[in-house]
Amino acid sequence: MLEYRTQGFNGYAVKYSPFLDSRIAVASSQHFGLVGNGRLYVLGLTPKGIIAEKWFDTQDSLFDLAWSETHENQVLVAAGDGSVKLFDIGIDEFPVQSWKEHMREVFAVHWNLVSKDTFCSSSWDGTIRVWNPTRPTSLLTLPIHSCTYSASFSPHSPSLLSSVSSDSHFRLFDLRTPASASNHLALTIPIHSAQAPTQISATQPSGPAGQFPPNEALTHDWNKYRSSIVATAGVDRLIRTFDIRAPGQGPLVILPGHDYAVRRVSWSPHLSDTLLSASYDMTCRIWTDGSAKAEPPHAGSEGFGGEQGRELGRMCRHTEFVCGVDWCLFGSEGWVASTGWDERLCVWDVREFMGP
Amino acid sequence: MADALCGPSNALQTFQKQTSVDRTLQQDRITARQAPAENFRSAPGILDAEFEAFQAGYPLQAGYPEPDSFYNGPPASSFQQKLGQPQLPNWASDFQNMQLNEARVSPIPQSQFRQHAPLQRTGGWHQDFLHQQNQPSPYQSQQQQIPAGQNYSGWSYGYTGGLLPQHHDTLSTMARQKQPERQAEDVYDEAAFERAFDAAREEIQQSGDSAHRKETQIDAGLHDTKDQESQGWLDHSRIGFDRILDEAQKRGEEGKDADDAEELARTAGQLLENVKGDQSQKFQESNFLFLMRQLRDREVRVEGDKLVDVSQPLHPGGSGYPVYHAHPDYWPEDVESLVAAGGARDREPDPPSAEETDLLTHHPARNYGDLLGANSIRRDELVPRARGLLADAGQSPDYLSERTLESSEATDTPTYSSIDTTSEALQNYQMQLMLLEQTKKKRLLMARHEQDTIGLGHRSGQSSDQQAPTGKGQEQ
Repeated sequence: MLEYRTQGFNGYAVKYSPFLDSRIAVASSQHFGLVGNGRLYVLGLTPKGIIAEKWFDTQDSLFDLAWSETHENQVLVAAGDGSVKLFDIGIDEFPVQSWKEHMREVFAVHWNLVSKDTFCSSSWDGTIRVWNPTRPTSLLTLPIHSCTYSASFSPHSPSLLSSVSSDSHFRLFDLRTPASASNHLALTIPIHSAQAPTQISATQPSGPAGQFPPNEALTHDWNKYRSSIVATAGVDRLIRTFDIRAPGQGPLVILPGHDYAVRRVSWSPHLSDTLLSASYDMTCRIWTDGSAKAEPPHAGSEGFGGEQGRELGRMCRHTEFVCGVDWCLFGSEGWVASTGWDERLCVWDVREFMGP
Repeated sequence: MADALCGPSNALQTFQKQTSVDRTLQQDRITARQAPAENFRSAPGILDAEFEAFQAGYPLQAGYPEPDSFYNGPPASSFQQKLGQPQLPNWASDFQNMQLNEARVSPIPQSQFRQHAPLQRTGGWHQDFLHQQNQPSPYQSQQQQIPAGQNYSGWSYGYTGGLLPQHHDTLSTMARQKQPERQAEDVYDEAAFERAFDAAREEIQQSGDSAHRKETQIDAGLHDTKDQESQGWLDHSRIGFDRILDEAQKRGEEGKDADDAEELARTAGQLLENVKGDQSQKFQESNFLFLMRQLRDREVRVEGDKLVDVSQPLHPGGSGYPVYHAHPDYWPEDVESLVAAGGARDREPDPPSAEETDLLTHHPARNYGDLLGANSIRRDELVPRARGLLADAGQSPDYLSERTLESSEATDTPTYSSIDTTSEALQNYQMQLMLLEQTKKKRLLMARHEQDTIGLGHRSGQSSDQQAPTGKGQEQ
């Protein structure tokens, strides 16, 4: 395990560069994001360990970041003052572009992985905005009406955009539909809905008839292989997977285990069934949703009924809340980076922490 | 399509055209479906009708539900199932009506249309709506009778090409009038349509008041969709941060300026209460929770964008106070332990009050002023932010065990338990292996990149794009 200390700054998000295997960016904030400055670290993995290649200070806390998919030197950050900033590693100190339209803290930014010419940001002001890096104003505003912790483009379609928000719902927007009364909203899934009877697995923590109270959803991620599968997680400490083709079915798999709210989930870019999560219980955990055993990936139906999600391992080195995790896209399949409020970036191999 | 437009049309021809429509996957899109019972693609008819309307150049109105009474004919969604049934002449004639709309079919190829769609729609539906308001179109007041939970129900306008005016009362009567007409003539009567429009227009003017009210509501903001969207499942039960924001807003409206410090202390207290049951060492040694305790106990105050230590060093619990600082849950009657601890602690003097805490390292990056934008978080936003950030943190299942969390000193430096040396060598080795592998990978990428560059000429930036998804997605 490699470590780097983001001294004085509490990490909120970490991302590997999609271009260079040795570059990692960390978005961090002073004073746990309550007050003070933010700092974007650009770190290099070298034979001598992790070194800071560059850092940028911002006026307000930073909560998320995303690498540009079109330029290997550019990084987007989500700032607490409602702005989205684009930094270029080749340019010192100041952002090359800054967009200020959100009214409150921006909590997520995500670059469109397919068309690569747009990115989205979501904010506590209850909107998602879609931007083009070359334009001074946003292209599109999608109202959520609820504090939106996470927004992301589908990695499979340039026009599908999803979000989870404080009101315990997953929303799917299809930008191909006209901007009518629904504001591109194509689908809404209540995350707290009960599992369909056919899918109740042995691992499910049973509420009364599988019912759950609504809970704030903090994070979600699209499966990189199965284009209709998303994972969500939040305050109720459960990770769930959904199939957007069957919105009424409820969660496919429910993964209980974390002791506190789950702050971040991320599907593996290498394995279709493997998830990594970061939580306020100060652990990162590795999960399988059980789909790999039931059926090979790319098979049409996800084996209703047969899935057994479970925890594969956990990493406990962090000593404060863990807020960000990301998988390395390159090299062997297990390497990940995690960051948290203990001012620490850890680069580690999940296979070290997995059981036999 | 050409023959349908030129020659006299008949039911069979129309039907043929309908069946020969390209229904490949690319025209399929995820549509709005809310009925939880609905299975995937259980109702192809809905998609078809929408698609037809889309092709005819009419705004898609999936969000505009309509009472079922509107229809006298078979619902569009059952269109295909009823093909072989006796109603055939009826719907076929209706379908003929639809052809007239095709006079207005946009010449833009559908694929082209789709590609541009995402970027062009900068306006949002309310602008579309306003746009329609300006036309003398009978769409105006239709939103008024949206029944709860009926959004995106199976209703579809494609049956009539999306053109029919949709005012409830007018339309249902109108449609009823028109039905015999159709059966008799079996052809489209333009005059009838015109009359229907006129009737609808009158109707709208009469109910102009309510329509106007509706309009202002919509203008007031995007919040209209919230009502539709939230019906049924959200109601007014806002949870989590939404509720915090609502409360903050309400307070602001009431003009009551809450005491920030008080509020913050309360929030911190709530958080601590939530994690009280956690006995793990990590939680006891957490810097964050220590800061929360300080906030709760008003030892730390927020000033500007700094956290300032305002504890009174000589008060009980203060840093200058003998012993109690280290063991704040001792009370003065605990004399023995006090004596045992040996009076005043020898600890380097704390900074005097109103100086920065050295809890965390500060970075003097505050003076960018104009260049980085306005100064950071405004005071009135602090509490909502703090509560937002903390609300989700401490959701603990059990609040049972009683415990004071006052731990040892705030460790300014998180203890980095050193990696034991035996595994360090191993890790170095592994790291080297990884780096080697990555170097290989990079070379491969470079090679591919060059190939692409050669292949694509100047589009070098583009070719590196191609790599990213490969690495990200499909590469195993």
